[in-house]
Amino acid sequence: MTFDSSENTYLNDPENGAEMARLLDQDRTLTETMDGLLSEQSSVESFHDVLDIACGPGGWVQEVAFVYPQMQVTGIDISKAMIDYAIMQSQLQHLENAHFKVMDATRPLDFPDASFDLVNARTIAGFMLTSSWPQLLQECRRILRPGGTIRFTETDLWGTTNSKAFGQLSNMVMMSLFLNEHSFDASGNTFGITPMLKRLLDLAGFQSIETRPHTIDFSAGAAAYSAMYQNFSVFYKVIQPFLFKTQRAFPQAHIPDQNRVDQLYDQMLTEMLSDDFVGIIYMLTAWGKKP
Amino acid sequence: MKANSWRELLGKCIADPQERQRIASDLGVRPITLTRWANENFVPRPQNLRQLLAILPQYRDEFIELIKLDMPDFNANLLEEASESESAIIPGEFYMRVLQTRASMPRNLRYSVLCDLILQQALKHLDPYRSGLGISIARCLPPLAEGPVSSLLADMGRGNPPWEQNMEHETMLLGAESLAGYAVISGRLITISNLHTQDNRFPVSLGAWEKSAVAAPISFEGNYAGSLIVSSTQFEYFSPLRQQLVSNYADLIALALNSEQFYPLHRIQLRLFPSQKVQQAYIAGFRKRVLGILKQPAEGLQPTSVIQAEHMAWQQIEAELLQLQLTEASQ
Repeated sequence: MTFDSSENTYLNDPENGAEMARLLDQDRTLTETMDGLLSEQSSVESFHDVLDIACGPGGWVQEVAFVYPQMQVTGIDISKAMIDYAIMQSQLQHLENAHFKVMDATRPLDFPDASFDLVNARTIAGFMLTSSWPQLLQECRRILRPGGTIRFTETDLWGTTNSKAFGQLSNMVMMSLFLNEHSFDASGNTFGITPMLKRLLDLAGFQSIETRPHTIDFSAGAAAYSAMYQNFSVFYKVIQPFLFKTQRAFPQAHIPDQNRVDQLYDQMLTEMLSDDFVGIIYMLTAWGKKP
Repeated sequence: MKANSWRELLGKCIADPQERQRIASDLGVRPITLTRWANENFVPRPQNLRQLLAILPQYRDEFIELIKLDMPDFNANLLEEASESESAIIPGEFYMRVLQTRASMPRNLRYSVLCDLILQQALKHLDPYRSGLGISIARCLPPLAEGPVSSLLADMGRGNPPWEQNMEHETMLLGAESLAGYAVISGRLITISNLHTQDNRFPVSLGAWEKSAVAAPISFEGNYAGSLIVSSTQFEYFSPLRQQLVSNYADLIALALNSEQFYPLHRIQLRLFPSQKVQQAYIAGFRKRVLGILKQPAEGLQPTSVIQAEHMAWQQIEAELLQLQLTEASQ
């Protein structure tokens, strides 16, 4: 859930420590939701060189490097601030098998052919233009070794809830992403990426494609409630500059003024406090093999 | 029959599925990972093996002997290795990140965001090998009027297994009976190397897995806002180097607090609070209390934000717990 504009800058300020902490928390929640780092993969022992695309502050890379010391794990991200932070954290943990590079995933990747056994990415739809997906997948295929695995995890919507304000804020974000060409959903209501994943992998020439769904239940009282409450309280604050920027470029976005957005934000936090609050995020992991 | 390798010994230890689950849970790994260590050529990190020795003390000597056949350089003594390789310095990059975030965050998110950032960093720095560490902040709960501070609110923490990731179930009010409280009252860092001995000079509220702990006061201009508490699953974990780090991170946390959240020592008069188990009954309805305060505030006490309503809810809980203590004392 990091965002990047057409000028290749994060929409959520990558220099902001709040965004780094939020992404690290989110990484851990995602990993728990997915029952582990590589839970659906049956041949983990064949992974020696692993790449994580758009790694942010490197949470997943650090975890994989720690749990699987025999692997060499590389994370790439367009933000130097994120990469510097990831390097610092890896050094503190003496993770000599974790590596990080500043790299734009929407351009040709600066790795030789057949460099990796696994290419992983989680929740990158927010910065990917719909038109950029085919090129990225071709690049993934190029840098994978024969028999190597590509593994993408995405969601169409960051939360379906019974909070009216949450829904209104979510709609604004999704419409803004749609207008900025990040959504496959012609209605602009969702990313529309999960139904596309299998087809995109297929079109890129991957084989033996499989999928597995996951859910993050962040209803009141659920295990992920507190973590996601904190996540959304930060997310819907740091995303606001992107919303207002979209409104200036696309008046049809109908983003209300700052006062109204602030009201909705407070209302969302209040509604999430209710014992009746329910919320869920549906995710899909799709993976396939390079022939 | 004696095992021929540490993998074979591990295989025997995890033959029972329930025991496998317990060991995996204590180690913070999945049961399949244990099976892979036992049956395949998966190599655990040295710190995982050291944790295993702590979890299976009855096999400790046998494990060490067998592990050394496979890994002659294996060092079972975590402290020795850690103190040689760890840095007592918080990277300058991190100070820059904290200051930048402090400057850019809205006031009502500043505390939670900065503390989240700092706790995550401190956890990785203080427990790089994930031997089991819990780190939390206990801050002075503002008194209702101009009276003294009676309790510390421990509502934010981060942990490596066996602690929870965000330690939300450890939220509670701490008083003079706690290490956190003692660190504030005494105005200095307090370390306990072995929480299982009976002759500790300091008040301790013992957590389930804690074997050693340290608490450092969070201070500014001679006033105090609370303390940073760090607990370990290892005895004698807090070397002088790690104590210094805890103190340095406590200084950073001071940046997350506003000046009015720091109190002179004469205004901090911590009372005794009941155990977490007793407090749970009061804390369980916390969100409902906050909603009630937001929707039907007492006269003249209209909260301006969810965070302020949360403070008011904690003040209610504090008053009820103090009343409970008084009632029990009089019986």
